[in-house]
Amino acid sequence: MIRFYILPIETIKNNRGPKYFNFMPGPPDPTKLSIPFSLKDYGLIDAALIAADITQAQHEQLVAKPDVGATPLDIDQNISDIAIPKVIAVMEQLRIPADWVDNTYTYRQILRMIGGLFMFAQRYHGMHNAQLIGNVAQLDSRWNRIPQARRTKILETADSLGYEYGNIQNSWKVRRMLKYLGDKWGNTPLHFGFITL
Amino acid sequence: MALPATEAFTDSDSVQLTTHDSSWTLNSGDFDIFSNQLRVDDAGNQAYIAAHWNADSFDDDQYAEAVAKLQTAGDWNYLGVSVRCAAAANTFYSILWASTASGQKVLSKVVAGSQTTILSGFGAAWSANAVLRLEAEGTTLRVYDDGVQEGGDQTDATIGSGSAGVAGWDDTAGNNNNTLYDDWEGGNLAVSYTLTADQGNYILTGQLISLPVAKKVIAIQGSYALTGQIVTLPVARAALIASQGNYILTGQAVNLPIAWQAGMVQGNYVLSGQDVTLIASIGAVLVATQGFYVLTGQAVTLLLAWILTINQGNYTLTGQTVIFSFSGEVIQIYTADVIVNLTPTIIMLCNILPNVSILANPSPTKEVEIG
Repeated sequence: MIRFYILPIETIKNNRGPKYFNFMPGPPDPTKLSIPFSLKDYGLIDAALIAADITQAQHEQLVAKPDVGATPLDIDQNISDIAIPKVIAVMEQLRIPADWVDNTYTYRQILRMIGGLFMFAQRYHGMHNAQLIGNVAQLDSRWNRIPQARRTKILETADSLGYEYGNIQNSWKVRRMLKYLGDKWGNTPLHFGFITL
Repeated sequence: MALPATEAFTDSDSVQLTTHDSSWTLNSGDFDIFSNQLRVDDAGNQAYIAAHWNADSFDDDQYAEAVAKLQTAGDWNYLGVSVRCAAAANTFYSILWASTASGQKVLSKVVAGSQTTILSGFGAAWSANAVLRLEAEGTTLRVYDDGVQEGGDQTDATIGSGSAGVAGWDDTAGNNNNTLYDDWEGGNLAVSYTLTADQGNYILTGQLISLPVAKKVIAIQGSYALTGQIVTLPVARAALIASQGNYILTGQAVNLPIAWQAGMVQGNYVLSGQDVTLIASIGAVLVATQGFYVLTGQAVTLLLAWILTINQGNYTLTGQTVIFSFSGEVIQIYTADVIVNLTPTIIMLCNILPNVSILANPSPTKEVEIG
């Protein structure tokens, strides 16, 4: 079965890949999962949105990790109230703004916002070879308080994707900016190899 | 078996709940035991789960409560209690308590496995050893945290009956020792309308005794004995009638607040304690036809805002500080060993202290004689 996860990226010998998965050539690490997966990274930030072809037993092994966020099999159901604290915690620790998450959203909508933000971050990485934001605390910085050079780079990235950003306010926090930019992906499909969001 | 049912989860680690005691039936998911406490032990399906007590038959109006023992930050399994669990289906009401600063209590109904939130994000922050309680009365659901109602009365008519039990949110596969509850109890709710003892006795004994009656309490030949540290018999807009029986309240703080009517034909009201209060608020009628009102204690207060009528009975107030406050006609008497004859109907005896002071503020038509 195909399931989605949000989890950290780790670096092994200059190779970046999903934590808890085998992605290096050579003999697999038996403590990690050797399964098909498709991943979108958060640009140079070590976080990933991953779709994996996984068994129930493997899923249970993976979700036992404290830094892994998972969705139910049915991602078109609204997120349950009781699940929100964990979803927010996992997202925020990976520098993904999550203050907007509530029970009016389906899991698919949440994943698509994350995917859209990751696509923006990947473009930013490609253009500027830098992380979109440096740390979790910067999520609460005001847009007009971050260095002008960085603001310019972000807007240049938005231009390259054809995003309109006239609604941006100086009083916005970075977290709101990132949510805004992530939503700009709109209804464009997000392809994960064997599945599309 | 008899209700209320209780469960202390005393068993070896990792024993499944249904193995520990066949009195438990799973509605969904699974639970096991760790350190003699309840924990979630399921497949990490991110689902609302529950199990119910099957050894007794519950009334439709029921409750379940348990003590929240541990909820480690960063642990995403949660526990709580459930009511009106179906015998076999994945159907129940539940209250769960997440470990966020906002408290994040979530009141839900699950019908055939499909969950709907009734109320979420309410209540106090998670607190170890707090008693989490869920009541279902008619179509009303109530949540209590250490005896304090939270979230108000919620209404839902979907699930009308079932059994009380435990509940959980299964986020992480397997079991973990970071979410633990203990000392579960499930039972029927107390009568909320009429409490009648024809020949029997009502005896409530404990640290905190409360017998709230919203409509009517009648003792024809029986007795009501409430004994404890804090004893309260509040009667709200109701009739409290003792035909031949006795009302005996004994405790450190004893209260008999009456908002409407207390009548005694032949019975007695005996309130004994450190702080004894018999309050009859505005609109109330306190009538003793042949009975006694006996208030004994360190601080004894008989507050009457309206009417006090005695035909053949007695009002006896004995204590270190005795107050008879009758605000209907603005007559106040403090700590007096005095016979007060208030024309036309009231006679009262009080124990004496030296330096008696009497404040009397009668209307011009009233006479106060002190002998």
